[in-house]
Amino acid sequence: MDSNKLILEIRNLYAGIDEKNILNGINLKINEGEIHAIMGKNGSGKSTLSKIIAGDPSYSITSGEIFFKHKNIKDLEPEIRSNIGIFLGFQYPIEIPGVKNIDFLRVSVNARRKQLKESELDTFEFEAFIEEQLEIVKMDKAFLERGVNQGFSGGEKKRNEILQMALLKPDIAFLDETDSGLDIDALRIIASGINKLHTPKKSIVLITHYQRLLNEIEPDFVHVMHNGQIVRTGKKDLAIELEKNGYEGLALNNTGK
Amino acid sequence: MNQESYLRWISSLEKGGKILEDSQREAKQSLEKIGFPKKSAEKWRYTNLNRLENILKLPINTSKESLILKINSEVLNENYKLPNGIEKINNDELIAYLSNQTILNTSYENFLTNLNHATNHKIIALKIKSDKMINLEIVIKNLKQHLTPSKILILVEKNAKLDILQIIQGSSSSSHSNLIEIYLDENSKVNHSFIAIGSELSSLLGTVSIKQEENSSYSLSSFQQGWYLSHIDQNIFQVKGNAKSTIKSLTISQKDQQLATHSYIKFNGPNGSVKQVNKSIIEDNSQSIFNGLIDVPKIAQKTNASQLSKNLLLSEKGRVHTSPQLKIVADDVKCNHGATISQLEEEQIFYLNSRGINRNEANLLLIKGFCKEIIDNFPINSTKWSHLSKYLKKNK
Amino acid sequence: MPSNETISKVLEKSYPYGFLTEIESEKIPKGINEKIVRLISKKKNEPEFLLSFRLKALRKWEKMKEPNWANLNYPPIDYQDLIYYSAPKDIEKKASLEEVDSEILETFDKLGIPLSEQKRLSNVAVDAVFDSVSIATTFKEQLAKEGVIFCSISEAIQKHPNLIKQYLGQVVPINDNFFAALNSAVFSDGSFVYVPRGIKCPMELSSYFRINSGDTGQFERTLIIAEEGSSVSYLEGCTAPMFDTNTLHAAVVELVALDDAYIKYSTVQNWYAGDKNGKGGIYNFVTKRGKCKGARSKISWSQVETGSSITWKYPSCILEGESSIGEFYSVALTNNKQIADTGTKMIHIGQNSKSTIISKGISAGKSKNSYRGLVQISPKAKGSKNYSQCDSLLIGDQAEANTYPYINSQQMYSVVEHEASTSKISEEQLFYLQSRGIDNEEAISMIVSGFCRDVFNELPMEFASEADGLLGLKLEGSVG
Repeated sequence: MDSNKLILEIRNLYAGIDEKNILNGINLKINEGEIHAIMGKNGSGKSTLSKIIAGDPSYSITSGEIFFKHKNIKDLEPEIRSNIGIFLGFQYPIEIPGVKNIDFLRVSVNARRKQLKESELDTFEFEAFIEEQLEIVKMDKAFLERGVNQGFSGGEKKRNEILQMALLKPDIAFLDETDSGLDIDALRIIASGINKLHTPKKSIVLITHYQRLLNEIEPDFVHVMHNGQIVRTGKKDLAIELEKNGYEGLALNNTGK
Repeated sequence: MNQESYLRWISSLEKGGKILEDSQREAKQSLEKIGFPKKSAEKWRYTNLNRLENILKLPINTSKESLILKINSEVLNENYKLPNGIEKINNDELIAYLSNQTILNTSYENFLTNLNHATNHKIIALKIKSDKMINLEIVIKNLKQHLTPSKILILVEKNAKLDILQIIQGSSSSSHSNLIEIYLDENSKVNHSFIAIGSELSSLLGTVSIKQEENSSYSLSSFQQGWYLSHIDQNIFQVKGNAKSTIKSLTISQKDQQLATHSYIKFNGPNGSVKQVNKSIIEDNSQSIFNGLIDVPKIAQKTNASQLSKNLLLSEKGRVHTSPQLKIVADDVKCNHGATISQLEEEQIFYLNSRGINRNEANLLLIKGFCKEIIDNFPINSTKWSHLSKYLKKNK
Repeated sequence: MPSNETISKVLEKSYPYGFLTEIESEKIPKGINEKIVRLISKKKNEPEFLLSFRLKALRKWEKMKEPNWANLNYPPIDYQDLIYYSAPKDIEKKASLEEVDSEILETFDKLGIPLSEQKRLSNVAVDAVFDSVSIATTFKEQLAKEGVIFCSISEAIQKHPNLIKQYLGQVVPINDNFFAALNSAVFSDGSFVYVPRGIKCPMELSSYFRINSGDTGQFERTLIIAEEGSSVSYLEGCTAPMFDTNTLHAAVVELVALDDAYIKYSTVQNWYAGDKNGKGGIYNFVTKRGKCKGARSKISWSQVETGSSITWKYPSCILEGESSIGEFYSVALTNNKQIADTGTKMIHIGQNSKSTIISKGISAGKSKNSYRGLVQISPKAKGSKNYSQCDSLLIGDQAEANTYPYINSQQMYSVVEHEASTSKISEEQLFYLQSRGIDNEEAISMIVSGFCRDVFNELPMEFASEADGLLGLKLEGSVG
């Protein structure tokens, strides 16, 4: 494996919330351009993993390291992680009433552009820029004038997440259950959006319960999480096997320990 | 304040002009009867009464310069002819209004109102004629080291529409006693923007007193900031119900300021509605007080009332007192109220952080978002509005 | 839409406990003064410290004014026209139940609280108070095996004076308010509970208060102490005969929870509420307060208030301990001319203390039902949280529902949320139930019952069904 292409590496990560351990030794390597899928039952630690990579302060790391482009990011503020190219698509995007979506997006994009040493966009430039991106997720312009995720339906919230991914152009994106609660049409729109944003340089991690998203976006690797560990890693057929036999079929309790 | 010096202060007040003479005399008598506010009264429980007492130590500003009136964006001076649709209320009529307490919704047992009447030398009294549309702007300035009393009385006739922007400015060590009374006749509509900006050691005792007839619509957007002591009463009375009222208020308190809003909304008939939102931002060791009562008697069936008090407590030493109250006798009503006191929400901050926005910027965005609902209602071209943007820019 | 008659029919089940027990009582002269206080103390053979406690309270009370801020309009009470002590004759506490006057035992039987060994409830220990005196306490021996003390407060004063000395008046100081001072001066009897360290009280403890005499005030005093790591659930029930005159009930309840202790205090209050025109009934002016003194301690109040002509009552929690928890669940039903002014105070002092307030008020007839509550977050209470929900249901167009929350915070790292709503029984809901074949009366019962569900769920099982019955309602599903 060419180590120059390594974009994210997690080494023996133990973490939790309050006194509770959730991650019990995660090891994971992701190279440029790869698509990974992380599957697992509720409570297996998938969402926690993505939150920790994004730097959610409510979780704490007990031991282990996270390297992004060979730099340890464990102690970086969440906004710095975003600026340098890490993106988390939230499972439950939070509503922020009163804060206009377009204002929020502009501040966010300019923070990233600053990091990339690109010029900041003013209101007009930004409007022009965002209009192209709206097409990717087939989102109506009217949503920009509303409060951040305020009164959005489940599907609209998820599209807003992918819109942010399109705007920020991250090097790696963790998409936490981006497919949940979507009907098949909405799923296709979002999946095609993600596929458009995927380039040989950009990596994507899909966190999902179901195989159906993986029919739309083909993963290079599939990982199964259980009790805060990655207990199986395979190719796409692992997801198919899971779909067929369920998590019980994998006899998870006997592995990984 | 001891009774003796309080009474001495009342008797020392100079007589106003002929028109105000009677109402002033009555107000002085009432003040004697009511006495200086005490902590034991719910309304004054948290008020720093020393600061209130200091207001009474200031000489009264009797000059007329402190009131600037603009109608449909033209400044009104002595010789200016009033445009079509607006009239001065003539003296006889005015005396009748001032002596007949039932016409306007002003409590004559109230300390603030009587203080205003007892000290007042200036009154603007206007009538908006039926079916007309008028845009009014009133700027009230103070005189340094003085108590500036002012009173505005506006009658809005049937089907008339009034947009009024009222700005009260306070400079160092000065005080305002302001009373605005608006009467809305049937089918009339009033948009009232009330902006009160003080500075070091300035104080404001203000009353907004509204009386609404059927099918009228009154909307108040209020902003106050920067007063060492402020106490604003917002009173709305729907004479026969069937009217619509909206109140949106924002207060920002800093340093050792104490800002208070007391609202009383009464429905005296069915099908009335009110939507009230009172927001406060509390910084440093300042204090914010909100006291609101919605009164729905038996006659007010099908009333729809909501009242919300939201407070952002942003400092270790700040204090919030809030008490949204409901008093309901009618059974077929929809009434709710709520109150929250909190910090900025960590979850929201994290969401913004995860999009690359740093903590200061995230705070600023969230504070802006908190204020948006209120400030959106102010006239866009209001140049006096720079205060809030200044506040939002300097904020951390 | 249901006619108002149907609704009143649902709400106005007659008061089944209004009978009077014919029994000879020993009463002391009317009035309150030092002589009377000394006499009460002497009758109860009290130690010196208690007499001085009473006299101190009397002196404070004499200087205090009756509160009027709650706008309870009632004719002035002539405190010199009341009798402050009344006891069934010759029963100065019997050694065994067999010696208790059979009239009194029958009274409690009729109230559904059988005391005799054969009939008594198997998992509830009962302290029965008749007018001013505790008649009997059941299951005492079984409780004693675990070290739990459950007896009348008079007995505790004799047998456990050190505990009384240490805790009495510590949570509710004698000069706390007018009625608390009065109670401290003349209290007659009440219950005492002491749960030692680490003990989970093996059964529900319960006191049953019966006012029998018409001209006697009832001033009971309850003190519950839960030592570190202990827990106890205590129930309180009350009834009174129907008299045309008003009877004063001014109780004081004090709870103390030490580290990790848990006290659950439930009340089903069904004093006589007066007749349709507001004649007669109990004036229920009660001070109830718990102190979460220890870390992680918890005090939970649940109450169903249906009786009394006037209720003035605010069971409160002082959340002193770190991570302590206070809860208040209340249903208050008022009808006819009843007045209820009730609510709670949650005083957050300890870090990370939490409180929950759920209040449901139902006002019918010409009654007045007010929620009055205070949430106070003091500067030290970092990380504390409060959630309050106060809902009112209005039935008929002459009832009054008021909500008076007072919220004060001096701590930026704390969250307070208060929500309240007022509504009537929704016609859509009624129609939906009726369209499924449920008759009008039953449908209203179900909706009112559903409205109170959050609170009923907090009551011990024995009481949940009683509470539902009290509202004159049938329950959907089965409880207990």
